[in-house]
Amino acid sequence: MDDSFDGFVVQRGHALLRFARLLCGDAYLAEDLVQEVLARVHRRWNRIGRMRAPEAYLRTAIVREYLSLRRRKVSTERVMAQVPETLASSDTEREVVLREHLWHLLSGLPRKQRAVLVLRFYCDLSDDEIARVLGRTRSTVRSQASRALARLRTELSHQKAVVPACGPAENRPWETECDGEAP
Amino acid sequence: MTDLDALLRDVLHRQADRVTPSTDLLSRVHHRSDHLRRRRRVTTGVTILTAMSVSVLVVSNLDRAPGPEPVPPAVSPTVFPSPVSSSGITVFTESPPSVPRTTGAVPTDPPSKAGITYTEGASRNSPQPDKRTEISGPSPTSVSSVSPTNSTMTDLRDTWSATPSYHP
Repeated sequence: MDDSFDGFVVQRGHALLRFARLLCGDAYLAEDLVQEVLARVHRRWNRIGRMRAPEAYLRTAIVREYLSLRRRKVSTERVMAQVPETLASSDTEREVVLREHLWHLLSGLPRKQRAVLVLRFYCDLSDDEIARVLGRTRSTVRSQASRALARLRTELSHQKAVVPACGPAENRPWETECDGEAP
Repeated sequence: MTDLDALLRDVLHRQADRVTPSTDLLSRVHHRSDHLRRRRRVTTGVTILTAMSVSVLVVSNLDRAPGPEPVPPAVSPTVFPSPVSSSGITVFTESPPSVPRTTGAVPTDPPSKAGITYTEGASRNSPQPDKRTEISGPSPTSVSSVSPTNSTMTDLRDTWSATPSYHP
């Protein structure tokens, strides 16, 4: 049993860590999550290892363990007085800043919404499969995804209005208004 | 919509690529699994011990407890002779038989004299602090010197002697 389990952990442990990291947004919490789930299934690996897709089972276990965490880490939401994206000056930098900002926005989402997005966009699961993993109905999954995307879209539209503030001059038409000149 | 989906997909894959592989994941999992196994064994042992001790206590208490109390024989309701009414006063021609005190609803003491019925609150056994206000003048200790004129006063004296001493 141990050989099979050890082989699985060596082969697929990193993939599970990546998945958990996307779920919780914190590397240490992700490792703790994966260790906890693997330690629990270790005792029953005789049965789980014979499944058709043990990795899917473990991903489901990780998602449910993540959703059952009692306390949300305060550090996942970062309040900044000076947002870093104001330093962006070129398109490439703005892209990087946008991605970073999107990652932070993902961290600020409720856990269920975040799990739905990760399962849909990282694991490429359908809504039915996501519903099975989360133990919810398909309509719940769809509504969670819709809410999460709407929130991200709202925040990003605000972000796009802020980012060009320090960009090229052609992206700042309001500066001329502030100087009293006609646009 | 499509832009946001693509952006999300890109962000998630980029963030996943940033995760560094854990070198000692397997050893940590084994360590944690052993810890869980030990904790499970301890929990099981404590549960079994608690259940056994509780069952032993319950059995010993059941052995010590006395048997069920004997059920007292059912008391047949006492039939009083019908009172003979003459000139508006209820008179018993003979004193009713004694009734066991366990029956609270039935008057426990027979009337001391024929023609006098006990009113509620005038029994010998129940103290009546409100009656004290009806006696004016002498202190409660001097009640015994007053010669009773009827049975009510006798009962009152008995009641006073039964009550604790009064210190104004």
